[in-house]
Amino acid sequence: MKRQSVSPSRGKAGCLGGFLHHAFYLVVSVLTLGPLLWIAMLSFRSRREFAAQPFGLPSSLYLDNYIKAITDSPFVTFVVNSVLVSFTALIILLVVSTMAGYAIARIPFKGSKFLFVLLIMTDAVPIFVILIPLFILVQMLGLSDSLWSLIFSYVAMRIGLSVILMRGFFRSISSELEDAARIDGCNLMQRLWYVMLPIVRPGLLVAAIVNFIFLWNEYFLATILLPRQAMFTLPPGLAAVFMGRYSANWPVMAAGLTLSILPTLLTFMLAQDKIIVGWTTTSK
Amino acid sequence: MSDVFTDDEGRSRSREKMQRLLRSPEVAGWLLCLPALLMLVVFFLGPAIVGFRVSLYKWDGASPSMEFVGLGNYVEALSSERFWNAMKVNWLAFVGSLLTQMPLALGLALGLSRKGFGMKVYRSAIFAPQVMSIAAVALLWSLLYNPYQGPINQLFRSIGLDVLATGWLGNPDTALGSLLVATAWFYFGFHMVIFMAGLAAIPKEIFEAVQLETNSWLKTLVYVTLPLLREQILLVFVFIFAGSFGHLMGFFSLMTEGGPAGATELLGIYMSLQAFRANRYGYASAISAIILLIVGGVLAWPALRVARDRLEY
Repeated sequence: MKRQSVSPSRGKAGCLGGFLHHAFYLVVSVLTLGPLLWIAMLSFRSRREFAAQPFGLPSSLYLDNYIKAITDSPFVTFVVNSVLVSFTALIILLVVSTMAGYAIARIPFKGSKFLFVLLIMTDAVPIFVILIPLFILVQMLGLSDSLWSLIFSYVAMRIGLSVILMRGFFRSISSELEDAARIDGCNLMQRLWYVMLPIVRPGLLVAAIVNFIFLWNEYFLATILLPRQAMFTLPPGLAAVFMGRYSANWPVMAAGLTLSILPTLLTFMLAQDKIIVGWTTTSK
Repeated sequence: MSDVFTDDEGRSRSREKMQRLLRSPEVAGWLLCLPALLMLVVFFLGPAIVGFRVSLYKWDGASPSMEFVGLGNYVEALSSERFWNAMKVNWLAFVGSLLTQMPLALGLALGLSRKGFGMKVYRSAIFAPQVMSIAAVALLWSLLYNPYQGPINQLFRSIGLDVLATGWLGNPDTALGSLLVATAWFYFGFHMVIFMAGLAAIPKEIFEAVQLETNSWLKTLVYVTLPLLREQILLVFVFIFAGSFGHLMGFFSLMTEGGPAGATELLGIYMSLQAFRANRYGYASAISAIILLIVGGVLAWPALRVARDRLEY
């Protein structure tokens, strides 16, 4: 009896209370998911259907909007750029943050605390306060006409958070295994590569997923650092091309939007718990 | 160990020296952190310092000549009406975000943290918008808010509330509020998950002990739950504050570009218009230095606190 009483609602009033609770959650869920469902439905409907009735289910599996979004716009170019930028930055981030995270978590060296605080502080600074100098720097380094400008900026932007995350994962491993390896004569790199990495692999996956969603979605820096439409990643491409060119053809816009969300949405559906772990350990 | 594999005596000796050096924690530690530090210095801290220097000059961003004006850009900003309007809009956006997102996220987290039917489904549904890019959210909401074909106005018309069907983003009275609704839609699920993680970390025994003392859920909330969530509340505050002065501008500039009549012009939008449209890089840098000062000033205490707590555990 006492153990159940954690929840305040019981009996008849509890039943009604529970119902009201669920009604409230349901309304909030519908409000958050509704716009997304509307867009998904819209992407399968023809222009005429939409003009007649803005809401509603598609009458058939109508794919013309998708075909048009892909073939009649630089959509494929945007996707290729997005893939190049996201995955290159992701690999650099994972390598660099594994090294630093391991060092800060496991090696007792002078300055490790300072480095850690520095990383946390830079993580809290909004990126756009360094936007102008970053823009100038990229020009000075001759990177303005290359996707590397974006890749390096992304790495710098996410390094704080990634190191914090990896440090947490390395700290959660007990030191016995590593000590045993040291006694067996493994040097630092061997210990990190053969002993620690296999154990920390789930953590690495969390860092990869959380960073991928960020990298795939980043709009703000991309729109300022990338000089030409042919170099755009998906978010600025979507904003520049779809918002302009198809402003009168909503179903095609909806198809482009749906396609752009698909990779991150699938990641979310497959790895929901990992994402939540990742986002909450960084915030803890 | 390494000499077994190498014939060359000298090489193996220098390798041994390397090994000994690597065994020193100072060298190994800094060496492993070097790539991260390098990225941070070249692409983050360096530009931040350069930006401060540029703010002391009059510069169009392209010509080699820069005219030193001292604090002139700062003085100009602080005496500009448009700057103060942007400041006002920015604080309004922050307070509006805080008042909508914090209670909603906290309330839902408290409710959804109980075990029960459908809780995970609700959580996923509420969290889902987080996987979208700002560009996609902006595109989606500008369709929703469209005065003619937009579903929101269609809905109002279909239930006979034509008076409410307005040009949401085109009207200076409704533009900021409408943008804040879209912002809350996008972000509050994220904050909810932070609170849920905090709640999950509180030991059940605490609530059982509280039950012996009081049956009032309000008292439990105010005297037990909220104090235990202090860290998370601080964190959500940091996110909302940094966000209002930070990435919110990308979202706003996509949807309204600061209009109509400056009603949604955040400091960041004002800054980027001055830089990338008017080519006034010195002036724009001064504005971003002022923003950094505000953000740093307000967040220094909570950020240090969070950093200290993390170092201790």
